[in-house]
Amino acid sequence: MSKTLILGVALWVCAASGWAADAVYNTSGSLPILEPTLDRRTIKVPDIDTENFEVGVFIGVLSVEDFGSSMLRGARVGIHATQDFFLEGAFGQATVSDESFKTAGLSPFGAAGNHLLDYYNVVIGYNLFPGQIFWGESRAWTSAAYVVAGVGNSHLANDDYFTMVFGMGLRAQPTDWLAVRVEARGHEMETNLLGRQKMGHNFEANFSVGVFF
Amino acid sequence: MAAETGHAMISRPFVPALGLLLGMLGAGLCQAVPAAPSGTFAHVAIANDFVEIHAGPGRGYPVFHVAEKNAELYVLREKVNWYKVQTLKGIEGWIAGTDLASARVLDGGRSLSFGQLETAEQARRRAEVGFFVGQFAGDSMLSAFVAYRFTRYFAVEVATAKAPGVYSASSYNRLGIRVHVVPNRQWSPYVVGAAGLFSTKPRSTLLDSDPANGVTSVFGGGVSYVAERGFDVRGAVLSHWLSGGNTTQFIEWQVGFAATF
Repeated sequence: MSKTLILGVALWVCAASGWAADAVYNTSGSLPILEPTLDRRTIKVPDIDTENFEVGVFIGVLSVEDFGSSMLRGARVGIHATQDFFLEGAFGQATVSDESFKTAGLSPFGAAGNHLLDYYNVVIGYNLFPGQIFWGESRAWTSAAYVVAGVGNSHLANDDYFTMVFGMGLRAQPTDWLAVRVEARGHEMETNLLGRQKMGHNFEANFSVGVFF
Repeated sequence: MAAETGHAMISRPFVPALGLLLGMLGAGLCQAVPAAPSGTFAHVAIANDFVEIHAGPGRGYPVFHVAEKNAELYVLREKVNWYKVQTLKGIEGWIAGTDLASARVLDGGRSLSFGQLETAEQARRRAEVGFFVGQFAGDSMLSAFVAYRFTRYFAVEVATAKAPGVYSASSYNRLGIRVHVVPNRQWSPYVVGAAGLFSTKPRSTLLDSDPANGVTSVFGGGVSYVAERGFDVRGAVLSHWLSGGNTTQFIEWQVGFAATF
C-alpha cells in the first residue's frame, strides 16, 4: 500500500471526526448536554473494629472509717474517649460490721450486726504516664499510670450517702484487648451513722482485669 | 538454506538475555503484595513524607518504626482515634488518625482519602453517654445519662439522678429532648425539655417512712464544649416542677462530661 494512500485515509478519518463534532454543535445552536456514560458507584464504608469500651471486674479491700476493713468485689465499665481521658462507672460491694462498737457496748446497726455497703460511682480518668513495662529481654507490655476523680453514692444501713471519689492506678496491657490494673481509691462519704454529720474517709485498694472491645 | 538462515537470525547473546529477563519476571511474580490480614478496614498508601508508628495508641508510647511516603499499610482497628496498622512486612503498630487523614485508599482505583472514609464512619456514631455532678435543691447530686442524636439539632436523652442530702435522699428518672440551637460548633448551646418520675425519702435515722413519689417536668438550658474528638464538657441549669399534691419548683445545676461514639 503506498504511503500516499495511507496518508489520504488518515486525513479523511480526521476530517470525518471533525464533521461529526460540527454536527453535534450545530443541531441546537447552544452548548450540548453531555450524557454521562459511567454509573455512579455507591461506596459502602465497612465498619472498622473499635476498641474504645472496657469491661472489667475487680477484687480488693475496702476500709470503712470507724468500721474496719473487709473484702471488696465489683465490676466496672469504661469508655476511652481520647488518648488522655476516659469515663468509667463502677459498682462495688463490701460487708461492714459494727463488731468493734459492740465490744464497747454500742450498736450503730442495731440487731442486724453486719450490713452490705454498696457503692456506685462515675469517674473521669486521665492517663498520666503512657509507656511500656518490660519483662525480661524480649517481652514488653504497653502501660499507663492514671488518676481518677468523680462522684458516687454509697448505700449503707438503708440510707444513701453522697460520695466523692479520687484515686490513682497503673494499667498494663499484655494484649490490645486485655488490661490488668492495680489501683488505690479514696471515698469521701458524708455520713451520720454515729449520730453526727461528718465526712468519713474510706480507702480502697483493688486488682482488676478488663477486656477492651 | 532456510534452516541455516533461521539459526543465523538467533544470535548467541540473545539466549542468555532472554533467560535473564524471564528470570526477573518470575522473581517479580513471586514477590507479590502479601494478602491483607483478616479484619482489614482499608489498604492505604502514606501521603505524608513519613509517619511514626508507635507501640501503643497514644503520643506517649515509644516510636519504634517509621513508614515513608507511598508506603502501603493495612488499617486494622481504631482506638481513641489511633489506628492499628500493619506494614507489608508484617510490622504492627499504631498511627495517629491525623497522620492517616490524607492517606490514599488503594482499593479499586477509588479516589478517596482515609479521612473521607473515617468521616463517613464517624457520621454513623451518634450515641452519647456521660455523667454530671451538681446540686439539686441544695443537695449534692450525681446524674448519668444516655442519649441518641438523630439529627444535628435533636437528641433524645434518658437521665437518672441521685441527690442523697443531709435530711432526705431524692432521685429522679427523666426522658426528654435536647435541642442544639447552634450545632456543629465547638461551643454549642442547647435547650432541654423533659418529664419523669421523682422520689424522695427522709433519712431512716430521722424518720422511718415510705418514699414520696411524684411527677417532674423539667425545662432548662446548657452549653456543650467539644474538648476533643468524641469528648465533651457540658454544663446546664434545669428547673424542675414537681407535682405530688402541690407543685413545687426546684433548681438543679450540673456540670459533667460526655463521650460520643
